Amino acid sequence: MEHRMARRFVIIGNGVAGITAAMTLRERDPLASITVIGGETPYFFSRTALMYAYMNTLERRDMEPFERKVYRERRIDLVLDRVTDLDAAARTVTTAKGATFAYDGLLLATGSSPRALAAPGLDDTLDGVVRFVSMQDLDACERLTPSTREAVVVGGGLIGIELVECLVHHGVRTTFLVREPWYWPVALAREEGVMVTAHMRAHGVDVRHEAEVASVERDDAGRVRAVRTKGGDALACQMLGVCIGVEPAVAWMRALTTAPKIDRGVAVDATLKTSLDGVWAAGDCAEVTLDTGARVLEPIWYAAKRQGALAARNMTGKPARYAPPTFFNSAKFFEVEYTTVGDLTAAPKGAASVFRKHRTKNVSQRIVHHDGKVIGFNMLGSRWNHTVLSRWIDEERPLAWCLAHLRDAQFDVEFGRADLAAMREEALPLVSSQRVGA
Amino acid sequence: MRRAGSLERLTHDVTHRGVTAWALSAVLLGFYFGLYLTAETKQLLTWLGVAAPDAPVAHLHDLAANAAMHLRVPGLRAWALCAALGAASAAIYGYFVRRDEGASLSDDGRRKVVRLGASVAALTGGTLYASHLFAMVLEPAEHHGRHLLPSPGESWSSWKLLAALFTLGPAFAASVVPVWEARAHRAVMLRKLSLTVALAGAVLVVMLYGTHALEPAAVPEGSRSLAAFARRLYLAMDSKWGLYGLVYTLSVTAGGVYMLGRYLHNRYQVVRTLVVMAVQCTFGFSVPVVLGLFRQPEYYLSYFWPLKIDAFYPDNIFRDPTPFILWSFLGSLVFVPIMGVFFGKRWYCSWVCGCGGLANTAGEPFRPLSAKGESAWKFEKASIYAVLALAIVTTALVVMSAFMGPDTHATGVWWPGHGAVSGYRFDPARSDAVVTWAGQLRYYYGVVVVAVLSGAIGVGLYPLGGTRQWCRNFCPMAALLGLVQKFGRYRIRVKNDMCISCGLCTKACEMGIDVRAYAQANESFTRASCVGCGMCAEVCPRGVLQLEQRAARDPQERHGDLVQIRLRKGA
Repeated sequence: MEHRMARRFVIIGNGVAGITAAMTLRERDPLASITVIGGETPYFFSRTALMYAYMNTLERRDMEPFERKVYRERRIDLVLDRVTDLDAAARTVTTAKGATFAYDGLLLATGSSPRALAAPGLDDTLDGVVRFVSMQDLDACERLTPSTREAVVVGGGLIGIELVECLVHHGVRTTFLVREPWYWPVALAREEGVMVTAHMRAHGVDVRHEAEVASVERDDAGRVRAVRTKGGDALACQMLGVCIGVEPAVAWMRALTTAPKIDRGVAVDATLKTSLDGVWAAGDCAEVTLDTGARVLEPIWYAAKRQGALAARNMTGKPARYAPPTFFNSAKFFEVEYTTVGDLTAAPKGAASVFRKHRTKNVSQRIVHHDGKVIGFNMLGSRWNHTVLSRWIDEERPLAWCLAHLRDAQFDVEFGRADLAAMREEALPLVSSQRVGA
Repeated sequence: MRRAGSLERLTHDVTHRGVTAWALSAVLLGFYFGLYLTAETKQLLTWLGVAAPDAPVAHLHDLAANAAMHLRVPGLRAWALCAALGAASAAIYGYFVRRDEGASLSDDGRRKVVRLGASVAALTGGTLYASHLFAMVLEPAEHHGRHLLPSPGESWSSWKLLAALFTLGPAFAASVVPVWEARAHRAVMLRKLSLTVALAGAVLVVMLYGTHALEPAAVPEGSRSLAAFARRLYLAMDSKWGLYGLVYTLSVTAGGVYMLGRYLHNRYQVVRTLVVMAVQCTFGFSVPVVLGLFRQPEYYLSYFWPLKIDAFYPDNIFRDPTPFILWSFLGSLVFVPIMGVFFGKRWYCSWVCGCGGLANTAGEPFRPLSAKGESAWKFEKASIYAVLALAIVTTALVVMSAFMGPDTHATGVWWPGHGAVSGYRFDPARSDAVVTWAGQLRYYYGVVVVAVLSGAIGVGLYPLGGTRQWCRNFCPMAALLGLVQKFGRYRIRVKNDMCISCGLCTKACEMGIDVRAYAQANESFTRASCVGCGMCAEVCPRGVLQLEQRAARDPQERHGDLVQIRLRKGA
């Protein structure tokens, strides 16, 4: 009988990448000890649910995707602590509380942190400035809301519009400062961006495009009092939301005893392995060099889940290589749902699109094609099965064929399919020329 | 935390198990005990020392003047009952909190446990008092177990009643048209809808109250009596059940209008709600009342065995006209299961049934309160199939006893409108064991399952545990249809890899299904308990879920790219 020591896996970060990895590790190795160290919350919660908790639709506990006993049953040890040091030679990590964990395999899944806004007066503002990516941010928002009548949100992406929706829900008069000429140009073309902006305005949001923060003013207690834009407007506010994107949370890693190679994020190869032996990285913090040579940061939920699972697989057995499938993403702008398939930021020159819009409703479809083949879809206001749309892209279906078969990809509720016959087509210029780089 | 007005705070309190929710629950529970089990409630309360024995209430002012006599300081037994239930609940809850949190109870956990125990004790006390009050008002002592008013006879102007009742139908139809015409313009539609409903309501009230009040002969002498008051209030219906049916129907209608306004953008919800309202107005209310006018048995076409357990009782079969018997048998044994195979249980549970109708209209604000955990699922599986077995055994015994039969006619019929439950007394002189068992089982099934579980608990606990307590944990019809559904074509389809685990679907599920567990594992699924209300698909911010009848498994369906984490709970 061969006696084998149980392997020890340590995961830093109990976000979706970390927990997916832990669950996958347990599936693949029933004997290993698995420790997840995270400093934000004692249990994994769904970051995407932050806005629903803020709007009182969910309670804190509802944000946890798994029942707590799941961790006990699967013998996954959750440690509420922050890792402060990593010694790759000794194969140990040390935490802020002074505990040391030895590992055979280590996964860095520290996620990302909000990008900082540089504006005069912001650093001296003690209160009223919020981000919206962590549980602590939610605490701050809930604490500040009752004493807030007006708020300003700086951003122009998904987190920004989520925070705006929450504030509107609480009856706060909200101004949304968007630097770009239309909403979220990294993903939406002008027509869709204009639609979303109109929708926000219908909800009473004061959306200002091509507006940026010039300075921040505070009251005697140090709480934000007003924001001055570069256009010269003074906007009174008791809350200032800063949602200008996220970047990999890797700054703390640079000071480690043995730091992995870091570029924008933790540099990993296509097997998600870092430059250190026995150390992998997954999720928002990982910058993957694909087999195609492209280096990608994928700060989205689905990618984190996928990478977490793949990293766990590679930590326990023969490594598989990360090759993301056809890009897809989804979102919801107030009531308007959004599905996109195909990486449209990388649309080649000469790509064109067919854009169709419903006469009265906020329903639109954009089909991007190149060389007669469909390369992407941008759908607003109705539901689509991205699996079917991805397949069409992979199969390089012609535009006419897709248009004829569009019904097959609809995913709306029964009796509620968007009426494709009511869509009005608009002739448009090239899609790629409308895009602004990420 | 929201800068809320007092009304908003109250709403939040009611829908989040606050103090108001517990109070509302006590009142609702009390109402149902008083309504369904008047005699039994009075007996129990007298024994507990909450009610004075033999305290007839002839006049309303009696009740006010002698409040002290009618509502006594609870006796020792009542205190003991409240304390015992409170302590038991705290102990059980404490066990689960401990199991959930890990080893020991935190201060916060201990506070929660104590608060729950105190709340249960208060709920028990409140329910006792409320049921006493309702028992007195709904059925004054001199009319123990009998209909308060005589059956409609010559003196009732039937044509007025008929006309008035049918205003509900046209009102409903009239409110449907503007919904469809103006559905693109929500505000216009709502205005039209509320106008029509208000107008129809006004017509109804005028016709009923107006004609009744102008008819002095209809009000008996001593018009200050409670009976006279009740008679006016009961609007020429033959019993408290008529009034109850009216209130129920109005609740479904009002709740339905609220639903339509809230989910106007979702065609499935609109169609479903309109059907539920229409069924309640017709099969659930107008049809039985009109049948009564024509001296036919009060018959609810929308209920089938085993939900309507007495449909298969021989005394009903011998009594009812042939078309009803055919409807019962074909409906229960052929139509319902076949529809279940094709459409799952949703066609019945959330499109037709009155219990589901109330839950999905007036009960809508309480929807998220259902228990989601795995232990709730385990309890549900054990209890619902136990009730199904009990229903089958009871029916079988009652049918058998009819053939062995001494006087089964005297065993009475248990269904709202017949009110014979308190009139039923089994004759101990008959020693035949089957008859004894059949009679007792029939009686206790009526009291425990029909009155307490479907009536009192089913609706009374809306504010504390969500709207589908009865449907989820006890309804034998739901159990049967659930089994059919498991082998049928209905399922909830999950779009691959698109779930963000936000949990809105799980929160919205009134049956307490952890939809998120399936969605995040890319697993299309069929759960026996799913009633197909479609709310998970409605709230999903990424459009991941869809209800469907699959014709055949789609060969093009691919598995997700993600490694699936199977966290499907239980078996």
